[in-house]
This record gives sequence, C-alpha cells and structure tokens, in this order.
Amino acid sequence: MDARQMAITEAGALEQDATAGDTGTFLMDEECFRAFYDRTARAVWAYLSRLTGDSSLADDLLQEAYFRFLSAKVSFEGEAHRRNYLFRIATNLVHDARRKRRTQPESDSRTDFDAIDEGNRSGCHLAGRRENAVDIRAAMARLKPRERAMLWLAYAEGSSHEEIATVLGVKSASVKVMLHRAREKFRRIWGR
Amino acid sequence: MRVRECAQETEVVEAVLAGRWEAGTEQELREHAAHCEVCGAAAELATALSAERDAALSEAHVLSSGAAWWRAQMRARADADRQAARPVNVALGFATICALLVTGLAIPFAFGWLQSSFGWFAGVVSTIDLSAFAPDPAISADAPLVAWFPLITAVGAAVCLLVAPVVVYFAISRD
Repeated sequence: MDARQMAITEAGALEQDATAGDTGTFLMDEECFRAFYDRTARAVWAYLSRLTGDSSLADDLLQEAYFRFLSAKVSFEGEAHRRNYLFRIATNLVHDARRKRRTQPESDSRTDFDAIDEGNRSGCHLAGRRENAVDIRAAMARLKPRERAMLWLAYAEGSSHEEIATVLGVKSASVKVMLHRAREKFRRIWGR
Repeated sequence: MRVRECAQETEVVEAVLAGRWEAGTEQELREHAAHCEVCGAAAELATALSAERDAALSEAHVLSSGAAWWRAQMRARADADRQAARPVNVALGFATICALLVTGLAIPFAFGWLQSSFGWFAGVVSTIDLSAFAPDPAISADAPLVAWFPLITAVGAAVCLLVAPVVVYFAISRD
C-alpha cells in the first residue's frame, strides 16, 4: 500500500492539516485534500468497480464517497485511518446501491456482474470452459458482496485484518474465519 | 471452525503486492510458500488479485483533484443554502396558514362592517364622473390614442399597482 511507504514527516504534516481549524466548508483544506485524492482516487475507483461490476456506477459512487468523506466532521489519527474511513464510506455506498437496485427489479441498469452471473447460471459461458479455470471476474461475480470486498481488501489492497474489520464494519476476530471461507469459496469457483 | 494460518502469510502478500515476488528476490519466502499450503494459496490469490487491481487502475479515468474539490465545494454550498432557507420557508408557510385562519375566523364577525364598507365604496364610485374616462367624440378621429388617453392611463395605473409586487418579488428573489 502507498500509505505504508509515506514518509513519517509527510504523514505528520497531513495529520496537522486535517485536524487544524475549520477551513470554511470542510475540515480538510484544499491542498491536503488534493494530495490525498491523488493518492487514493484510482484505488477507490478500482475497489468500487470490482465490487459493483459497473464502471459508470463506480464513477458516481466515487464522487459521493469523497463528498461524504469531506463532509464528515472526523479527526483522523493518520493516513491509514483516513484511508480506511474512505473505504468504509465506499463500501456502505455499494451496499446502498445494491439495496436500491433490489427494490427496482425492472431497472435497465445491469452490471457486468449481472451479465456474468446470468451467463454462469445458464451455463452458456461455461460450456466451453468446463475443462478450464473460470476467470477471475467470473469467479468474483459468484461471491457475495462482502466476500468480494474481503478478498479485494486482503489480497489486492494488502489490508490487515483490523483494517478489513474497520472497513466492513465487522468484528476483528471474525475476519480470520470469514476471510478463510471467502478464500476457499473463491478458489473452488476459480478452479485452483 | 479451525482455520489454518501461517505467521508468514502477511509477509508473502506484502511481497507480492510490492512486486518483489515476481522479481524473484524473496527466495526464502518463495521456498517456504512452495511447501506451505496457506502461504502458497495466499501467494496465488495475491498474484491474481493484484493483477486484477492493476487492470482496474489502468481503466480508472477519475476527475482531477481540483475538479473533485470544486464540485464538493459547490455541492456543500448548495446544501448549506437549502438548509438556511428551510426555517424561513417554514415560517412563511406558518404565517400564511395563520393569516388564512385569522381571515376565515374574522369574516363572520366583520360581516356587518364589510357590508357597510362596501356600501361606502359604492357611494364613492358613484360620485366619480366616469364620462371623464370615455373617449371625447369632439377629438378628431385621426388621434384615437389621444381620445382614449384617460382610460388607458387609468387601466395602466391599475395594472402597475397589481403587477408591481410580483415584479419586486422576482427582482429580489435569488432564483
């Protein structure tokens, strides 16, 4: 993770900026926000797009996530805390988007994951692949959203169990077992 | 449920994500992963998912940080304006309802007074010489505007009195 490579002095300066007095509308000033955004935006977008399977939805959720992050009157303890908080907001937004989609079954907005999942269920995509491993996205599509998020945070972002627990809003002690189950399920589907 | 774990799993994942695994620099760790089921699986997963992350990062076309900041500022200001206007709108609505209630309650009591007032007004109107507003037939037919000038003036004044409050409202309205 980029956060771990950041110099201590730079992190300290960011921390001072973040907890400084009110800079108008937001607690964080422009310079601090822009630096943080440049470091994290693409990673958050990648997380959102792989969780939702929808690039345009990921664009919308990204904007909303940063707005909510800026609007939150929270004193951050450091870069890692800031980053986890942002990913937590992103995760909640994905959850809300899924709930909204479930209440609108006639919606035209299908995600890549919906298409992949339908193809898998019908066996059309797998017909020519029964002898071969299912590709990563198809395997991810067949996981539950929380399992997807857990695997992404652990193995794509390199988050610790405590960080995963913070982002997903679960107990830290549960992460080990949940992650193990998600990993085994993914490997079964993936064919490895 | 008993979960098998290995103390070096985190190290393996970190090495993969930092790019040291493919570079072949973590020889000891790789040898360990070759014989450890937990670390072997972690290395495989981390390799696959970090490649997927790299693919997603290359697809990401996000707004510039300046644009993101500007949009957030605009939205925050719009939200603040809406919140500031809310008590004023509530008070306005409450005042309107009160005014209507008072008017509705007062009419039965003031009915007698209204009758006498209308009678007074009718008396005032009857004293106005309306022929002063009629076109003067003695004026030449070539100057119709001059002939109708008094009536036009009276109608214009009445329209201004009615329209003026609306114009003022829109002039001072923020929207």
